[in-house]
Amino acid sequence: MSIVKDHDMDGTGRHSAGSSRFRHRKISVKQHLRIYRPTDLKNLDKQELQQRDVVDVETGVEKNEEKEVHLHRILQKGASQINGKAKEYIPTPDVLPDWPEFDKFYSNHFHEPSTYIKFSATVEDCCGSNYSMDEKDEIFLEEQFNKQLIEDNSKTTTKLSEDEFEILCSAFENAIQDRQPFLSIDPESILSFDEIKPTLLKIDLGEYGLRSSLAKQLNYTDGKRFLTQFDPESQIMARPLINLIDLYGSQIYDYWKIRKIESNGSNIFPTLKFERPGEKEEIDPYVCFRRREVRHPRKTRRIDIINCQKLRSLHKELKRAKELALLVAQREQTSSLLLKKDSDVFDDRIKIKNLKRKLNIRGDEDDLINHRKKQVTVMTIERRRQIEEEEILAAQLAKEKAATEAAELAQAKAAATAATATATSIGNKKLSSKNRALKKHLEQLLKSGEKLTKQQIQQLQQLQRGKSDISSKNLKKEEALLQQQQQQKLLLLQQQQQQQQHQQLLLQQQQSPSISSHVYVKLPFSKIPDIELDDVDKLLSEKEKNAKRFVQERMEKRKLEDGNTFFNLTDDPYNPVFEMNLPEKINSSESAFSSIASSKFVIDKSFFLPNLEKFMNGTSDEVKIFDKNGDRISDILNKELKKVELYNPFDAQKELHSREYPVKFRRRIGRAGIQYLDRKPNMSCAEVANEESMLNEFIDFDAVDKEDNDSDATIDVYDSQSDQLTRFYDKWKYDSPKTGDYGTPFSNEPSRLNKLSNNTQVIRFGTMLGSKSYDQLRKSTMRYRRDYINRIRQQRVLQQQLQQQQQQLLQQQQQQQQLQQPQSQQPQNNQTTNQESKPKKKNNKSPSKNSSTKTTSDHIIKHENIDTAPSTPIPSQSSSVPQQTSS
Amino acid sequence: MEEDLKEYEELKQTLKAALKERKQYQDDITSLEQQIYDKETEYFSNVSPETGHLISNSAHTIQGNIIKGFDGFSKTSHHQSSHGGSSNTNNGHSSSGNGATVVIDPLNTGLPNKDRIFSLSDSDFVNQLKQDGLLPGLDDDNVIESSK
Repeated sequence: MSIVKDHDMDGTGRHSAGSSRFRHRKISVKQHLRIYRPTDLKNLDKQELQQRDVVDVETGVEKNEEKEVHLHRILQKGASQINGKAKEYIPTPDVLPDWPEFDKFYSNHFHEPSTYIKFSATVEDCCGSNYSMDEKDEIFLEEQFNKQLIEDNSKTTTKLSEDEFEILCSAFENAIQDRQPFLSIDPESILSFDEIKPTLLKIDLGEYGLRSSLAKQLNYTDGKRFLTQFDPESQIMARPLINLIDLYGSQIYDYWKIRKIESNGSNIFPTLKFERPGEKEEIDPYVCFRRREVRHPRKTRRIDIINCQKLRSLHKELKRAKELALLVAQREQTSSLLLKKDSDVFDDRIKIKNLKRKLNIRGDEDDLINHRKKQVTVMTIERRRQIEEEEILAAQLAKEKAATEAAELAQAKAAATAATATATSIGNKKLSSKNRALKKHLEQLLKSGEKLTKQQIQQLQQLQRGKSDISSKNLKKEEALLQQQQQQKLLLLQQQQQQQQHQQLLLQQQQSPSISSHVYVKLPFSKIPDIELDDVDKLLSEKEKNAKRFVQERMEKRKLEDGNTFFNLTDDPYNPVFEMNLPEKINSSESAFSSIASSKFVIDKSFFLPNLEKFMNGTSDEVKIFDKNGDRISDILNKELKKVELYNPFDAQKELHSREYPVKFRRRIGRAGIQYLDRKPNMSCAEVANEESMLNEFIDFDAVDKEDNDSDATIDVYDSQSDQLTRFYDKWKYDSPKTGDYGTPFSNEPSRLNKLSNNTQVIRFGTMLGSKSYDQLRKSTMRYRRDYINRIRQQRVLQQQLQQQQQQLLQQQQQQQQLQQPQSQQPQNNQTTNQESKPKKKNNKSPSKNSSTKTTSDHIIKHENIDTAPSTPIPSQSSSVPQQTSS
Repeated sequence: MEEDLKEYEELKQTLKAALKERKQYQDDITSLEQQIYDKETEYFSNVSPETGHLISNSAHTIQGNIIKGFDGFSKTSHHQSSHGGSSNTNNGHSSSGNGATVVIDPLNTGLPNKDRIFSLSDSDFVNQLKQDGLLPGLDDDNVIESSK
């Protein structure tokens, strides 16, 4: 049994025309499908079935073309056509089996390269003008035009070549296309040559102008036309269009015009037909390349702008490329000039050489040989880099060298000073040979020899000074003079020392540039969150504590202020006392139960009762009662109160839910119609009350309490009850996959911290960094200051030393003077020293800074040490010491 | 004899002038070569050869050049990653595209020496590169061809 679709039966009558196409329709419930029995199949029109089958297949040929006779026949044969032996074809005209002239045109052998062929010029660029001569043109050009040309002026003019003819024709074509694009409507209206000439010139001027400007840019002054390798051969050989138009334009144009009119204004030379942009020529079968149907991109402002930008950047890109190409061309141009010059030079040299031989001139060969010049090369990136590296290296080397030199210099100086010091000390030794102790000391110093440190040198100087004092006493004038000289030497030495110190300071400064304040610190990533982050819990508890303390303090203060005179209602806001009664209509026996929760009560009075709790507990009898206006009520206690209920909201055990009754009632009718009222506790309420008892199943609260109470005991990590409690709590709070009750689940939270914007986080983090860097800043400034102070102090010390020395010098001189006057030695000496100490005081006062006084005191202590050392053998010398300290 | 001498002097003068001119040409050529090299670097890699800085509007100019072709322009997407595959030579480009002025390693301009078509059209430059050992990819035949 076969089922055949019958959907076309109800239509306009199927197969009425062969062209009516079989249309697929969905099988629907509403349409009948005829059922053929096997017996019916025989009677079915074979043709009918077959035809339907054939049409069913998509032929792949355009609908109209299916009607073509041969094709139709082929289509009708269907599958038998494919399988059958004798195949039918659509007859096509024969093609030339062989082209005898092939070798003439394609003589070159083509070598297939191994790489892809890259070529950017179009075919049109390569084949010259767009016009190709045909036989008619050839006849005209050869038989008529050129012949006449030769006849007219027999010798001068050259023939018009075929290429030139084509160039002219294509120029005409372009010009007409420009001026009369719809010439084909009325071919006779074609413009005359004079009319078209400006257009011709203009078009050519464009090209010519381009070439000439290029030539100009390249300094191409060869007189010939500027042509490139891309220009086709025909162009290279041909004369420029401007000349051609002037020479032959009108004549050729006349001929061309006739041909144009002959061809009804369309192109004389057949060109491929393209689809004109904007219009669809589906009808025209000769359109060669059709546009593909592309979905037109939406035109928006943004796309416009993007396209504009693209165009602009493309333009820029091309401009730069052109610039580069021009530069390359210029380079080649110059190098060709250079080559030419080279050959010139070579020729000149030959001539000169010959002349020289002839004239027998010797020498003067300088210009005759090519001097080997150092090759000037392009500074490539690699080279530049290399050079930079070398420079850096050189700089480093220089630096190191300088450093070592400086070090050497310093060493040499130190050695020199040491030597002079030892020398002077030796001299001193001679002078003061009598003084044994001093000598010993000096010898000790000498032993340490090279290792003389600054301090030791200072000590030495002090010694010398001291010694000179003594010697001045003992020795005569000449010796004193000698000593003066020595003192001067010493001064010089000290100056040297000072210089040295300065240098050292400078060196120190150079060596430690890190001291100069480094504010901005770059931290490695691992170090960034170095600051201890505060726990939120901690912060909150701290806050709460503070708040509590604040409130408590305030309350206490107020209480103190109030004393006993005022009663503040806000102290105990939770406990107003209500005097309640049942409404009048309701009988108290009828009402189900008596509780505040039943809310059927009427509040007669409300008042406030401080210390109610105490009163209730019986600990206090003193009760003051205030009404809502704060007036005192005295008579309330006289009333008999039925029942006093105290509600303490903080007592969780007594929590009451006013919505629900603590008991449930059920009315039932028993035997003999007796009504019963059953009462049972409300379990939901009980549950609330027993919440903790329920939790007791899980957690041992007593143990928790116990643990909490004795905080001294060490916590057992493994079964600490309180720990378990907190964990349970956390689990209850957070360990829930569902959203809703406990906030969004963890996984749904935004990845950004606390939903803060990035900027805020940056600022936050920045402040963290800031505090870190502030620390560092503080440190570095501290260090800087310390160094600065040290430096200043050292300078001060040096100054002071100088001053002291000068003063001591003065002193010595005075002493020497005193020596000359031996009477009244002692008192005068004391006086002079006293006098001397005065200006010193002044000096010390003038710098009033703290640090300066500090330094001076430091310095003085030092001197004390130094001075006391030699003071034992020479007691008279130490007389100046206390004076100094007093200053 | 005297005429010869005179001619000799004249010839010497012309030779001197010619030599001077020749030197001028040579200088011109070297300066041109340098100019080409620098501009080329700038053009292909958008890196200023002097400073090693990216030139600011590189996002646009990187869409195509005459080596890579201008496919980048026809693509609708504005991102430069879309035309990364259009050329096999721009290794460094994608990494250095986004910053306005990013100092990058001058050797990593993403411009291999064999892509310097303008500079390589000069035989002197080719020789120089060969001397520096910077032109491993090209054998001699190619060099000669490109230098012509």
